[in-house]
Amino acid sequence: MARRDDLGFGLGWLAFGAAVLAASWRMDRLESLHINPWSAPGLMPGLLGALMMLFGAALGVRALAQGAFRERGALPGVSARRTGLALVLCFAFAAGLLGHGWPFWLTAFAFLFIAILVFRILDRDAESPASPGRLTLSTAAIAFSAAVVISLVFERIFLVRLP
Amino acid sequence: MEGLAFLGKSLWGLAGPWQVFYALGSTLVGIVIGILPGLSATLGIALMTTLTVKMTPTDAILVLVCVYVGAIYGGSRTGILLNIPGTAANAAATIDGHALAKQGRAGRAMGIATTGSVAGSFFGVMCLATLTPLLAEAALKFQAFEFFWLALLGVLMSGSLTGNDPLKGWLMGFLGLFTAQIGLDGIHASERFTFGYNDLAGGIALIPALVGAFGFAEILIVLAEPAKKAAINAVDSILPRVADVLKYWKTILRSGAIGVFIGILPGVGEDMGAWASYAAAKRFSREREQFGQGSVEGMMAAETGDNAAIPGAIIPALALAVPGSAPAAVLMAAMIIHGVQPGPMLMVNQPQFAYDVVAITLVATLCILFFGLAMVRPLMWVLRVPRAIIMPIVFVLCTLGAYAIASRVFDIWVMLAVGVVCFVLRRQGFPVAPFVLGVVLGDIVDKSLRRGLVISDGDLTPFFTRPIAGVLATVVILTVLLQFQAVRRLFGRFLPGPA
Repeated sequence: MARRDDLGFGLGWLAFGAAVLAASWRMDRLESLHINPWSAPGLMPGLLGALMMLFGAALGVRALAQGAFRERGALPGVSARRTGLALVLCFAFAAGLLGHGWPFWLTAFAFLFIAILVFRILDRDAESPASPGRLTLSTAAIAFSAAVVISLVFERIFLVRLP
Repeated sequence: MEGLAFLGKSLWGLAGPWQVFYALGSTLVGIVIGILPGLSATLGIALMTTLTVKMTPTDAILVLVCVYVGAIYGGSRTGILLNIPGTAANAAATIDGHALAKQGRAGRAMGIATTGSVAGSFFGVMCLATLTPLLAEAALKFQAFEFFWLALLGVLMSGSLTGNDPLKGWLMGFLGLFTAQIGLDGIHASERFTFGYNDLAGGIALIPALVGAFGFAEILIVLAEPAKKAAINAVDSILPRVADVLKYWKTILRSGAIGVFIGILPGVGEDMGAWASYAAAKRFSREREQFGQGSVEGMMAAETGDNAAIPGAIIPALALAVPGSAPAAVLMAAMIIHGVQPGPMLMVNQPQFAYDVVAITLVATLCILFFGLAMVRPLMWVLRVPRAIIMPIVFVLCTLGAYAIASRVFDIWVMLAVGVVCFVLRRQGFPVAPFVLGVVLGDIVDKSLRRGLVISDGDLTPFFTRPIAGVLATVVILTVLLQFQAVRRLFGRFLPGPA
């Protein structure tokens, strides 16, 4: 699976490098300002695009030489369910809840309560067993304390304007 | 003598009650960050940079260096007790540290970690005080040609040495360099890759990108895997022993020198300092067979090496504005945020600040000695807190850390986007450290290349024919070419092999 992934990612780097190179080539060369052509803004990004294309292609070719197509597909090593849950919760908090006028401590509490509870339930084999009621109550207490402490520390001590 | 006067003034300035409070508090925070698997020194410094924006530059750097030293030191705890290195720098120490713990000598292993860390840091501080002015003076002769190669060397070396696959490391380095190109260019203030968005015109801010790369990506990686039960057992004495220092003084000196040297190399970092010191100790040891089975010498070498690499990595950051490691890169960025311009002119314009950093690193070393003596058992409690509780709290801190510097919601989006991209790439074996070096050094590489070409009117030869630029160019080219087997074979024909 690793070699097949390398082939895919090599092609991805190749495409990304090509896009960067094309965008750099089309970038304003500021000729109207009569600048030295060697100081054109697109020079460095263009070189980087070319390098990403070159090394991306090398990654793909190496994967092919090592038999990327002969490799059988396998299940991914990461737990897709856990990753998906973490992504949904984090995005819901950072992109969905913040910046919409809700008090920070409240949104932080809501996120922390749900995220901690969900992952404590999923990890319950590694924790000492607790009854559902006790687990929920202790999670609420932890989430509330953390949300309030973080809000107070950032706002009152470090004078940060909270989102 | 002038240097000693500067150092004395710096130490006096750190003797105030607030400075002592900052030093102890931030070292403790650093140790806790190091102890928690998944949280790195780089993330710790990035998050604390946000909190120190309103402090004076010296107080802010005091906090950040203490977090840095504390995190690298604290990571050994997790390696010893759980066989999971708290930070990448502690991987070498984990081999013998955990072997000692399995023999019921976890406390002894922690004592050795304290001895090695303190000895390595002291050695590194001495080198920081003596080598920084020398390197800065030598670098006064550098022009755009030399800075271009030096910065590129940092990114490529980091790519070669921090992961398992140099090709992937270099690609991440180029991605970091590219990320730094977004926004207004540093010479003509022309927009690059902004697609008409005002937020992008300001560029991708370093701290949100770093918090995404080292914080959010790590949170996703940790939460994606089911938790394992922690086995914690340390009943023997945790006190560091002077006898260890006397018995292994040669190992300590050798590992300190190796650690500092590796630290100075642009972009290489503390983990390589630990591995190189460990390998050298094994090669010269009389008790070689004990390495991997709970060797006191092996653990001493690894912990001395990684901690000596911290001041080592700060040396080029101060003297050349080219950091020796990813955490040093964030530290350097924090200095710039606080109005300090690292580089060859630092010793000319702000020599007191350079000695402040020396004094701060010395204070951080004393702090880890204090916590190594006084707080080992209470700190082990941190390991008992389930990660299902820690990680969501860290995510809230990451969100605030990304937002707080500029109070822009856009920076939270940057943190999320960089985090997801780095999570996907890390799962495929692409290391993150070269990306960080690329983001930090992107501006220097870009400006130096274009300035050099303007000076030479498009002629590439000065990039190769100026003495120092020529040496650096050769090292850069060899760094890349020597990763290819065919080139290594070719070199092997010309170099004498073992008989």
